[in-house]
Amino acid sequence: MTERVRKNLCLALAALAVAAGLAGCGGKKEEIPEVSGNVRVVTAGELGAAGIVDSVYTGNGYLVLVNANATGTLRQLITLDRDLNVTERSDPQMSSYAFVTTSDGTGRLISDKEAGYTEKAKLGRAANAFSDGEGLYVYSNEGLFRNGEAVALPEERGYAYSARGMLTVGGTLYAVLSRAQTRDGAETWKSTWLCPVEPGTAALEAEGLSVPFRVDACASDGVTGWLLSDGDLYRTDGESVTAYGRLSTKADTRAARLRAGNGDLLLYTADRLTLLTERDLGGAPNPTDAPMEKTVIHIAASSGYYDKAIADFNNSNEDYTAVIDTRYSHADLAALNLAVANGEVDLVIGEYGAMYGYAKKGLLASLEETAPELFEDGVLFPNVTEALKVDGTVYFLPDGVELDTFMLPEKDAREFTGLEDFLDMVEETYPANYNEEFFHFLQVCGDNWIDLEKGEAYFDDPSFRRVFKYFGDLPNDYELDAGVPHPLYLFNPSALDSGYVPVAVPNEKSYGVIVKSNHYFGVIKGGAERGASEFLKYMLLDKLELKGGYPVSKALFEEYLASATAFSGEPAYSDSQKEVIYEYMALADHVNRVDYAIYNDVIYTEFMAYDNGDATLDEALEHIQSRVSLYLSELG
Amino acid sequence: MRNGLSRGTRFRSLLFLFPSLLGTLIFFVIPFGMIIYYALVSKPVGGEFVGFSNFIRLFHNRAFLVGFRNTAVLCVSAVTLSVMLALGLSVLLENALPARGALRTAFLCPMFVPAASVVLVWTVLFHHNGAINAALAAIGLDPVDWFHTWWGSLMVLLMYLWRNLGLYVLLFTSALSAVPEELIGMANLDGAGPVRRFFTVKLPYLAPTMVFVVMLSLIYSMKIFREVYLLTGSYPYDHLYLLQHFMNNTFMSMDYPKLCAAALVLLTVMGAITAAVFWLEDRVGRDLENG
Repeated sequence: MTERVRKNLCLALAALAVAAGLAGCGGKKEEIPEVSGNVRVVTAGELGAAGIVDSVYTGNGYLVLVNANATGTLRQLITLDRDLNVTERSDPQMSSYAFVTTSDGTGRLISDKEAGYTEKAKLGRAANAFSDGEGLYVYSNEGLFRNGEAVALPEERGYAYSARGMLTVGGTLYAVLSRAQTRDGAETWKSTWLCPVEPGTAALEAEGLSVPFRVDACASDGVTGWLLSDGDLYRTDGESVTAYGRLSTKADTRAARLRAGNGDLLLYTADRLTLLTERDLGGAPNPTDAPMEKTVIHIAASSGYYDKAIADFNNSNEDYTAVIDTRYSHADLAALNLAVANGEVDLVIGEYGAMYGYAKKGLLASLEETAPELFEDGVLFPNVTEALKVDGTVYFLPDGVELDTFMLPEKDAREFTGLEDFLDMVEETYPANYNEEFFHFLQVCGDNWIDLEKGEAYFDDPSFRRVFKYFGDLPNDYELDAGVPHPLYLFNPSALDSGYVPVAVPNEKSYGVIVKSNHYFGVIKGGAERGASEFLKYMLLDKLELKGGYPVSKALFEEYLASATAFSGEPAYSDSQKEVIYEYMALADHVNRVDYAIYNDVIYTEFMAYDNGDATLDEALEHIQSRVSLYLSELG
Repeated sequence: MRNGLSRGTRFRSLLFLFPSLLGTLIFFVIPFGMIIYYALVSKPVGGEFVGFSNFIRLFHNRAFLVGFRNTAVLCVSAVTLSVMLALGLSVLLENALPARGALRTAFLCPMFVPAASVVLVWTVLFHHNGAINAALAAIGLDPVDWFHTWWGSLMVLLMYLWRNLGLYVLLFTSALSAVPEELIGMANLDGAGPVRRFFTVKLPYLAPTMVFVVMLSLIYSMKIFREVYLLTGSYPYDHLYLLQHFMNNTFMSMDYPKLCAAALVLLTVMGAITAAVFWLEDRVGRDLENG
């Protein structure tokens, strides 16, 4: 080998090494197996609650603290058995509960001696408590306290330190200390340590085992410590940290709480409890094990959490495992678009506007072809599927729909011939105060003024002028603050028993009952081969984890109406109310296709300008017409 | 041996160039090719070749035409006013004005203000009940609806000039200081007055800087979209709707063929303008060399 050849070879190898290094710098996340096989999930709704506050493992079962009503003031304590079935509930009362966990992972209610009413109320909302038998530790973002005395956390300019939890592993007590950079009011995680804590420790130092990720929650059973970070589970023995598994549902776990005991893990996040039993945890594959044999259905979701349904599907289906591995907020729709367009997912769950766009761009598969069982007689409501067709094909379906109509007191309810007739009644009967909201009015009647097919807007129509003027002349925010009554009501099935009835206002295009949902399911082209339509059928026909509204499956709809109960345990709907719902469910034949962003971006600003006196009625209407026309032109 | 380089040297040169060539290929050539491809098909996935129909669709799209018109008007006025005002101010600053240094700094300051703060200040100033309308009312004039009339374009132009003029002034000032003193002295001896000295001696020397300022102001006038977006959202009134609104919203609605066609049209127009500006500079430079 000549000197020149050797030199060139060395240079080539160096270049290859640089290229390989660059490729390695891609930041690929460590491959972690899914923990999706046997998890059990119970939602706040199933517990008959408005939300879950905290939970704890007691040794025999679980104690769960829930909000019994939406305001969060009425709390209830529920006891669950090891299979998450409710065994006991306390009477709802204005009482303060808080849990404390011990070094073996079991927990109990904090006694009045250990913490007063105020401390307990605070614990229930924001903090956690841990007892090592000698002292009661309370940790939150505000700091770490032992028997009421603050344990000092490190101080560093530009950084915030917080205690993320406490663990006991192998007889040693650890505090999970997190360090985040603070800039412009936002915190960015930088470091985490497992800091050993001695009974007399008065200050924590940033030392101990370094953990290379943000810890959202942690728990231990005295033997094993568990750390949760962005949906991934890690195990620690105090000496090292190893990746264990990834929760298939990819829920946001930053506000999660984790409990460990007797080999089980109980995770609370997004108003649901997920239980991983000893068998599940013992059986979960290690990263070095062979990959799962089931085909993975990759799901992207911009709305809705379906942890329970996914867990049940994964438990019952032998061929497929569903995983929500891409989750986007409404504001990050562009990223969802890219994931869908790049074929990174098999199924997408999203709002109407996005799904309509995917269908029009040829990204979604026809459901009539990939899931024909859904379209057999008597399976779904045919009027609903018809209303959701895009260019004559059904590309996406919701698991449940809301029926959007106007609400009226029974005395005013009648059959209206159209919008003008309805407005006559409103102006005559409620000259100064109508129990409706302007934007709900727009949603129900939006198609009177926007024709997406033709790409035309009609906000210069006299009917819109009447609506705009009527609502613009009602008391505004300032007057409401001053005590002028103007109750706002939105259509809500639970409001059916308040003496109001839903009323449809027909127009040229529809009967007047709008099909509405925020959770449409669409199968990406090619996704059916990977089981996406199996999951879709399961969600629509077998599983009921509704986010509101009524099931589109006829069988589930019947079951739902028959069994729906209010919190009091009474049936949710009277027979007459059921009749109305049946009727409207069978007659709903139209979808409001207008992007809500338009309402917020254009009509709201112009409405407020008119309401505040910054624009005349004519100016406001002209601005709306112009701006919405621009939007429609863009779509052309 | 060709071009004076041995085969080994050429090989090594290529080897060293390889990473940058690879980067250019991946991040410029291939995406550009994809843009051309998407502009010629009906939809991104499984689309058919449709020739120029996306371009035809684009030129029949009212939103695109409105955006294009507004962007063109803004660019032309911004570039013209930037060059004229910056040149005028730098000539003024060249003379012995009091507090010259402080003035230069003051001109540059708006560049360092974050866009969100600028928008906040502008909203307070130009709101229907804002300071400008209050001032107009104080002198007996009717308030102006800045956000819903053509006055909005003027507001954006003012914001652009306020933000960017300082940089152009700085560039012209340094270019003016580079004009050879001997030439100005000779012009003085020939009896040339200040105006004649400026147009016949200084201005030709400013040509390269002027080209740079024109290009820079063109680029910055396209970037003023950020402030307009923060002021008015995705769907402003007609006069404030820019081409970037169209691009942004089209991206959100995933109409990639239309978006790519619009990008190619914009690229063609910008390319033509850039070529024209450089051609002009070349001509002026040649005239300068020929005396």
